[in-house]
Amino acid sequence: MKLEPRAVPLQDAPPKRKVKTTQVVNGIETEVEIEVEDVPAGQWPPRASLRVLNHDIPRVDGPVKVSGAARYTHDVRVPGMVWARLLLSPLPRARVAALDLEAARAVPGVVHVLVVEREETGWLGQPVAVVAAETLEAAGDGLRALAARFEPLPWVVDHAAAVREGAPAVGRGANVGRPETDGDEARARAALSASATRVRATYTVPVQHHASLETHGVVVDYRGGEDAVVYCSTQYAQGFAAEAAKELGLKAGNVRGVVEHMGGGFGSKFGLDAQGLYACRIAKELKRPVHLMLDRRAEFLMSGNRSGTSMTIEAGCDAQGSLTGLVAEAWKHGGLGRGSLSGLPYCYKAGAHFRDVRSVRMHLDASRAMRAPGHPQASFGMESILDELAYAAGLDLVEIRRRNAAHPAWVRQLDRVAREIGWDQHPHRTQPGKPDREECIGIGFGISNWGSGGSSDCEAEVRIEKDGSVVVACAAQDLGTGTRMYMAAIAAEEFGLPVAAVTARLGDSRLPTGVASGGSVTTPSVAPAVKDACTRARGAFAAHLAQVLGRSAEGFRFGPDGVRHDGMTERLAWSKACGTLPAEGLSARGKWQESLQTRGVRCTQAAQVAVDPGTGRVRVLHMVCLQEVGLALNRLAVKSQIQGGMIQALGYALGEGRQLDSALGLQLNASFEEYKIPHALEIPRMTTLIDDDDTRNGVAGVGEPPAIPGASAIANAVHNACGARVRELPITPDKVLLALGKVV
Amino acid sequence: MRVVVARSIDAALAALASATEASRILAGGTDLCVEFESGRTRPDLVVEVGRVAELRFVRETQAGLEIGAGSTCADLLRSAPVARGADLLALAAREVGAVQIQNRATLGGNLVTASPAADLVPALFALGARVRLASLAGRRELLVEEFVTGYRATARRPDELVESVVIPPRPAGEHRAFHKVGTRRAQSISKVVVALALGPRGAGARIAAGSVAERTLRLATLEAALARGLARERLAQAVAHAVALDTRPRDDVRSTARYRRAVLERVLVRVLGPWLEPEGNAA
Repeated sequence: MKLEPRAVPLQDAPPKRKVKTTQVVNGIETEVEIEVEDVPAGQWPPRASLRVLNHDIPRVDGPVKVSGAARYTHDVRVPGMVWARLLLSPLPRARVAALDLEAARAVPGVVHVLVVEREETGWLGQPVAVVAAETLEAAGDGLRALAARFEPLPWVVDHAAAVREGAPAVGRGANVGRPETDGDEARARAALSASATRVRATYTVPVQHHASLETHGVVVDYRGGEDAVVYCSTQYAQGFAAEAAKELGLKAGNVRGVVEHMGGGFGSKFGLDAQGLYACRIAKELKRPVHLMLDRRAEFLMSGNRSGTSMTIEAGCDAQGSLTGLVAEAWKHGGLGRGSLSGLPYCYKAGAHFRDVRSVRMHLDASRAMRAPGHPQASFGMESILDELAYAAGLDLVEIRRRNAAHPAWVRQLDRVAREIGWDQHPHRTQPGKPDREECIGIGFGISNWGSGGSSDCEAEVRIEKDGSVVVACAAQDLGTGTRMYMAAIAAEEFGLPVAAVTARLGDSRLPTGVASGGSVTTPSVAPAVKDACTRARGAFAAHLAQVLGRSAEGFRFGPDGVRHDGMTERLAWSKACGTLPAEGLSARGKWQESLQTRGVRCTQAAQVAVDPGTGRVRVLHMVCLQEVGLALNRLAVKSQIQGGMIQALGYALGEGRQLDSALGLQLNASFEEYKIPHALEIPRMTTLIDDDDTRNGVAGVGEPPAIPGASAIANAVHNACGARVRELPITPDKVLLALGKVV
Repeated sequence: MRVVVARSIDAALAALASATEASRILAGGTDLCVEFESGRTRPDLVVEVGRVAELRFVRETQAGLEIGAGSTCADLLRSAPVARGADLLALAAREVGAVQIQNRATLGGNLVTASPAADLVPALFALGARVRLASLAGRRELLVEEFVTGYRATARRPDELVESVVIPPRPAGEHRAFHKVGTRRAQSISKVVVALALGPRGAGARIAAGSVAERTLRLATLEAALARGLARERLAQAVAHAVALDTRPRDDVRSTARYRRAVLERVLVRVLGPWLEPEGNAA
């Protein structure tokens, strides 16, 4: 009997059951109840038996990335392509007074001028016109030829101006949004009154930019006809392709979305966006491919950001240090958007709490999801007030956290992290140090959590070729975190092959249904689907070999030494076994399974810093991170992603933050020259630990939690070093001197 | 915009003969190309001198060390004569941008741009450098303090090209130091930058600071106090006095005026303190 060619069908309409899972809408995770097939739950092999997974696997795409050979969206060139550039509103709000379209059209090489806002702009950086030309330079000349003139209209770009009586309105409705409240105010205030120690302070975090090294953009390859390919820097290739199809007026299935490599997204790259929309319109009009990538200034002004927050927190504890009450009043600064702020108390429990959160709108681009939306802001307020409370009560900074942590995992993590950072030998455990030397050393702590579950829609396909090669495929994209790597590694583990023998294909909307890569859902969505596909392929392969060799299908084992059968002494080499397959090989499709993923990831960090009280300079000496990850597919990639999060938090703590001139309506640091992300020389010693006490045998997303508590830990460490309590990020040297009372 | 690519000094000077106030010289392009992109600068004429080999040299002469204006920061970092005779310049060159920028940015460019936050310029001030200018009308030489006249302004006429700078021989027993405070440890434009040279017993002090006024400047009040034989105990007070009198810091995107004053004072006290004699020992 011959093997059924290609697909091994899934079971027909298996029974369904309901499970809770996470769905991500524009990077914000939401817990929902869904129906899944009630098939026997797949399981990962016991950790001790893993040969490939849960080990360090070097990145397959490392060499092409560091050598510049990797093709990013910006690098795509297709025949007949035109280059498009955007004209942005130079003011937060203005009347478009003049645009010389004729002059722009007359520039040699200019092929199209698209006006997208003729009347009035409502935010700084709002696109006004698009010029497409045969070269990028000609497009630039076309923009200049427009000789745009803007007449300023009243605007608000800071909190004080936005809430002032008679302030210019931002869109429709009031500038200050309705309060979102939680908890019992009377009970919380009573608890505060009765507490042994109480403190109150206001904390502010700035707008942080995603600062993706690859800017937003797209190459729309449409030359007329029924089909198109969109090359897009996106966190959701399938969603992008569907939106582009709509804009191009083509059938959804006829537009293919491709993202081979990504230079970062961090939550800002889900939709088609303005530039995608304009590129589609121009391509449709010209019937020519369009290249439209944002330049760095546009990236800073119009691609979203992490909303800023100002929060006043009052907290109290009893004599032992247990939080009795917490009251928080907060304002989110998300431009035209609502912004995000996680609940307070964050990761700690309080006897009673109340919070009142409102958004303050301004004439600036709307904030977007950014790596753990709302969490770093809340963490900064929470960890800061907790330290201030501990000092006021004379308590140990680790002890107060152990006592109040909302989950026992954090207690275990705090003990380990305190040991790694050298807390027991540190002289300032209950009182900060004094600014009495050129190098004051301090330590701070922070904890975080994230949901991290997978998405039920995700599918994957695995194909075993007659020549022994294996291809794993899923439409999901690799944001640079190692998706490609673990897809191959899972198949290698399942079939007993070296990782190099497996090719992973991804970032293509034509492949089996993937997932929007946001909210740390990619890995817990893709890995279970790949594993399920491999399990099914293995079963189908065993059934085929059973036919060929006249043995029972159950007895086959696939390992590094080839294919064995329980009833046979000799082994069959993998390539020989595959040689028995029909010409088209064998393939199987797998689906996401709840049992292969896990939810809820907790993380604890500590930072050790040196502060120079003379100049206010802060140098981070050492950061420690201990994080739950469930089953680590590739320990090297997990650690690398954790380190990336810690570095991003370091930037949030010490350098990053949008700076605006309210009067002139300008962003002063819309470039990497003035927007300070950390560099190699700022990177401290990093102790990156996977929490192996977390023995859950499921895969979890790991990207979000490590980006959360680092800034809080660094801020607390600065205070612990020398007594400089800086309540406003970033902690620049001038603020340290101000806090020390050293400048007048 | 007319662009002339000069391959020799003579060709550059010939092209510059028709230059106006709106014309620009392009060397490494690390400032000018950024201005082009931002649209801030639309010159009538650009004379590119980045390929003029004659501008790229370091030679030891009787007048001192002569360094071609086309020398890049990387050249300054690698040059043994610079390390011997103009160490401050090598220390400053290391602070300019990243390696890619250091490979392109030139000494002449840093000088002619005359940004108040320039890193090389304070070093030239502290070294007592002289600037050699050439035009079809002839050659002249200016002290670097006379050359830099204001915010991004110099004494260079539109038809002139900076050919080289000359660093006088290092006097015996001269202390020198370079100190920069930026937001990051590298690739960070200065909040405060200090370069200084101090002879025995405070003689011949040249204390230069950047980012604390509209132009790089020397702290004349402090230099005078040092020349009078300032004792270590009186340093902090003298520094505070000099910073108040001599500097004009501003608030900007990188820092605040009060921060700049406070930190300039502290850096000067830290650097100069160990070189001064305690009271009683002072001359």
